[in-house]
Amino acid sequence: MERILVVDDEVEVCNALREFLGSKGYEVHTALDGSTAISKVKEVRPHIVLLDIIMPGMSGIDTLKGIKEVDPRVGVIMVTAVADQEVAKRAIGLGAYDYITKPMDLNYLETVVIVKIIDLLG
Amino acid sequence: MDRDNVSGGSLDIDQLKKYAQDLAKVYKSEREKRRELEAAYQELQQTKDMLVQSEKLAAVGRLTAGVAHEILNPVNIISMRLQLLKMTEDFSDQAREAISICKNQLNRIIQITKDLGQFSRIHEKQITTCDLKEVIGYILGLGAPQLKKEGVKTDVEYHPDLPLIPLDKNRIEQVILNIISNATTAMAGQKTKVLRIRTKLAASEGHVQILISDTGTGIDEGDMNRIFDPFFTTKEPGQGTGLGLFISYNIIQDHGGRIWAENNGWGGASFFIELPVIRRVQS
Repeated sequence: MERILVVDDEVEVCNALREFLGSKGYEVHTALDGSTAISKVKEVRPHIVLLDIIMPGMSGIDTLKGIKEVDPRVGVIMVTAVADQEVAKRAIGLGAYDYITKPMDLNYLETVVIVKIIDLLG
Repeated sequence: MDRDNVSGGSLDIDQLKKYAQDLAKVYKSEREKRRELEAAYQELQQTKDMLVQSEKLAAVGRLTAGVAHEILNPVNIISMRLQLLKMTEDFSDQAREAISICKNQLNRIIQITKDLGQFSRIHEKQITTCDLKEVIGYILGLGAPQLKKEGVKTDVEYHPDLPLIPLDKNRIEQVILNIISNATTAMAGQKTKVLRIRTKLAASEGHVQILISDTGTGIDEGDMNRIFDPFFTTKEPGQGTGLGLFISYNIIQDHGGRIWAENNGWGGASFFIELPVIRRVQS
């Protein structure tokens, strides 16, 4: 079963994504901040990380760097508000796979996840 | 009466005439100075009004961008929950319709939030040197079917020797589209519908000017100071958010330019946009 780590300081975002991705057959883990996310990457070795860019404490960008140090192969999809697209593009320069904007379109999210997983497993 | 007195009297009259002429000169000169002072004062007052307006809108812009970002988080959660609900199969048609209504209304919030979120500073990477003729031509091409449908004639003249200017092309296109769209709305129901566009070198050195005029109903003088305020609209409820000109104002400000409106001789409104030929990075 493919593993996905959802990183967002909003617990309701984590819950909704756990419900959606769980219903699609993924094993879903969650983290509410950057340092917990890096620990979970070490612990559960996810295939995909959904990472919010703006979080209190460690920022999404710093978390991305930390995650990539632990596992350079993991597919990180950044989640951003519209105004943060410049930051999202910077994240791609730092090794993120893609970025999606809020409010999230769940069907589009599923497509992005599937494409990356095929890429990783292929 | 002796000669001296006569000659003295005659001299007095000449002197009086001379005094009167000198006085007239002084009066004329003073009147001229007063006019110049009044004009300078008026210009100063206008500059002050523009500065106050500019600072006010910049502050509102920063606030709204922050608020928009915060609104997106709960909106994101509601949106995801509605999508999850819609995926559930055991709902009545009535419940499905209720979900659709919620989703549509949420989309309205999202659209307003996205509009409000456009106040982040222009990124330098998005700035390219552009030909205004091409920028305006692109928007006119895009809007041509709508203009034709509304019966609006276009009268466009470009200055032949305008320099290329540094622009965030997409955003300037957004401003022009917005003004043209407002002009089209203002001309609905008018007998004559003409959209006039001119480009020229602006009176203020180092700037180019775009002038967009319509033959619509014009702007009420009482509204003139409010048209760039956020959420100010004269459209029917639900027809406009009142953010278009506010966004346009901020975009032009971010380019180091200025935008203002006046009523024109055709009964409609004219929008003036001045943009600098050389970009100074905004602090």
